[in-house]
Amino acid sequence: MTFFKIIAKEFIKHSWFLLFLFFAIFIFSIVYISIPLWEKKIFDNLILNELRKEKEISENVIDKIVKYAGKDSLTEKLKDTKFIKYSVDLLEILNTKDTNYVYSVALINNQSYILIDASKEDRMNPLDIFEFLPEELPVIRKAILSLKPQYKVINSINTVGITFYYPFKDKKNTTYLLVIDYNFNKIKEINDFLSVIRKVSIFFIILTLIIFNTLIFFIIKTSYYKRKSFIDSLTNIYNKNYLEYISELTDLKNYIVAAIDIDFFKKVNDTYGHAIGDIVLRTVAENIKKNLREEDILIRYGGEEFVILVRKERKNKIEIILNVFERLRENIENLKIFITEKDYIKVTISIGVFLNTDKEKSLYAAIKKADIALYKSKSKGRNRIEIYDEEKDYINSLITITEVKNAVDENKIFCYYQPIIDLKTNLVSHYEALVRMEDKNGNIITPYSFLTAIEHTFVYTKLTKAVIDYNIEILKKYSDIKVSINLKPADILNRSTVDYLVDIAKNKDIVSRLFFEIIETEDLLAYEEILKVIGQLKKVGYKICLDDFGSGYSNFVYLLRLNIDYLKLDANLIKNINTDKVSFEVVKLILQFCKNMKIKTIAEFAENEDILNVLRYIGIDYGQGYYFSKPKPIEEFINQAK
Amino acid sequence: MKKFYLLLFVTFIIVFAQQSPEYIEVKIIKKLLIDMSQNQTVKVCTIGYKVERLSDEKIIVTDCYNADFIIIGKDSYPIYKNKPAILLNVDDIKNIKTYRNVIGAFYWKKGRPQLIFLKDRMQIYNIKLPKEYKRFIIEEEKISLINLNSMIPIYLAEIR
Repeated sequence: MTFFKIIAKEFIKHSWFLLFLFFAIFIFSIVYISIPLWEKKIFDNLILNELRKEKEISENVIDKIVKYAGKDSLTEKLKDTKFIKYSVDLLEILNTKDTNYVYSVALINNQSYILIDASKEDRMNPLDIFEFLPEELPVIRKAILSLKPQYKVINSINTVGITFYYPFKDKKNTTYLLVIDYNFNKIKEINDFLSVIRKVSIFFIILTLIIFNTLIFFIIKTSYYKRKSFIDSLTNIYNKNYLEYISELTDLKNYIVAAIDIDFFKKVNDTYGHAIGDIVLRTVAENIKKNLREEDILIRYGGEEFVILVRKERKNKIEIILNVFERLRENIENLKIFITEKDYIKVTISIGVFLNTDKEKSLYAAIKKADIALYKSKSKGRNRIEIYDEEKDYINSLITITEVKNAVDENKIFCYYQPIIDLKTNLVSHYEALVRMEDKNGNIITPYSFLTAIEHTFVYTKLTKAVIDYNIEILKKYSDIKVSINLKPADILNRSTVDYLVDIAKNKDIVSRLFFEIIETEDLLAYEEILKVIGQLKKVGYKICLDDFGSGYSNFVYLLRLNIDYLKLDANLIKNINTDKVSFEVVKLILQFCKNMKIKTIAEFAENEDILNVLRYIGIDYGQGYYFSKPKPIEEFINQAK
Repeated sequence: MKKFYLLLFVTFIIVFAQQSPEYIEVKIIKKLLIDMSQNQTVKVCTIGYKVERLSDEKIIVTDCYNADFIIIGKDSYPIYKNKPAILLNVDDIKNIKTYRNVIGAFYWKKGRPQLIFLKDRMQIYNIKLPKEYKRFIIEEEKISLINLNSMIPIYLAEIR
């Protein structure tokens, strides 16, 4: 996903707020732009109201002056000082606190002359020349032509406020103008009001613009950091954060989901160190990325696990898509990862593919299915591709946490047993307890179907205790048998489980007949802690067996330090022992080591007589497998013995 | 033609829009002086008027003896009868007639700038103004249409 796509998504995320800001800017701009129009309307309303009163008084005053002049023109009458005094007195009525100048004007030969001046100050003599401002002239012309009063707000100069022009005629039909100049108080009031609106609008426009720009800045900044937080610093590909980010945004049906795991990666880390491990991770990630298209999404899902979302195209057949994965697998298999200038190591990858994403609701559910297929691929020997088998419907066949919890609570957890035979005496040494669950329909469910669901949950601990309790009851019931229980490192690292086992150990009879098989897996990371717990269990009397040795993570140093009593060889080592010389030699080597360390050996997969003969020949102590018996209820073995 | 005159004032006013009267006054005087000298450098002396207001690259403020024009401020009197003078901020425009070497006046009435030039006197001093001033060039008797005959023109020298 490009940076711009992240920005676009961030914009969409904040779209309502952005829209609101846009709207606010728009509204305030409209208010600001329309202020001059309001100005005009407000002026018109306020001034006209004011002037309406003035007009009536003006009419009376002018009427009296004209009447006084009689048949003479007003300019002629100016020779009469009484007339001037009379007229000035009348005009003075029009002087108020809001007026500056009150005067009448005669227009003679395109020139204006003062007729009568009753101004409070700056009074002029009759027939003195007087110039109006250019901006007044059109209004004056309009007043004279229409013989209707007009007003004008003077904008060009700050010495005149509003001027009122009242046209009138004398008996000789000469036109004059009564002019009243109002001071700024009124304009100031109106302008102050409009100025507040103007300032508020500007303030909000600026404020909104600042918020708008800040938001955009933060969107870009967030997008930048988001993108940065989406990238795994080691491999430079997307990380789990990104998966979370796209989980809701991505249209799952357009993708095929694959889970990829680097085989035996822990071994690489243990053998070469974490620095080389990092090189391997980086090189594998680069190689996978190189072989994917731009529209495919590669994510580092966990330590050495990757998730790929391969974009489906209509024309692409399944075979073509699978070829993509095969090519990835092949490329990694052939990849030389140089750890020094000359030395290189090779790794392989296991791939689990989930194809039918269109039926899936969430990306995580799809990844889980790809993970199941990956698990299958690993269990089938690794370096291979497995496709999630919809028909087998793993997910549906898997039991939910609640079902397991209910089974534990309702005592529906029990064990089947498989005997472990002493190959020298051919007698049963002890039984390995293999957990089973009875579902609500009475079906017996194998752990494969329910362990995954409860892993890392409190139900798992409950299950472990239920299995221990069940076996204690069996041991109490049948006093001549010994039982081994499988424990995962997670069980051993669980303090409450260990305390429980220590507590049980007070019963010496039980403790002498109860073994624990600790499964050797890659999870055996908290090695020192496990070592301590094993020591504690051994101290209270339990026998410890290391299970599945040779399944991939086996390490002789661990073996040496774990101080175990039994070592169970993994089926992978045993199944070809009669035909494969390497298996034969490896088992012999392990056996020799165990003899030196006084560790008893158990071979899994004693499936036939040939294998059994080889096992006896090389001196393995115990055998377990279908040749002797399938797992079944303990009662059946007890009854058989009778 | 009137439109043209209007344009002159409009130009004045627009340029000096919403400016203080002092600012407008200085701008108009400067323009007048430059126009009167046909856009040449002009030497002026001022009486009762702040010299620094007129600073311009084309206006040289000098003593009245060497000046081309005299600017006379309010309540001041011209001192050289042979130099054309412009009267500023006169209270009564009829006073213009008193000083025979005053060719024009700029003053304020009712918050409005007033500008007049006397045709005859401009001819005496051979001063020509661009056409845009035509409206403001009037005959002396048109300054006021009343009491024309009662006014006695005097020269500066006579006052002295």
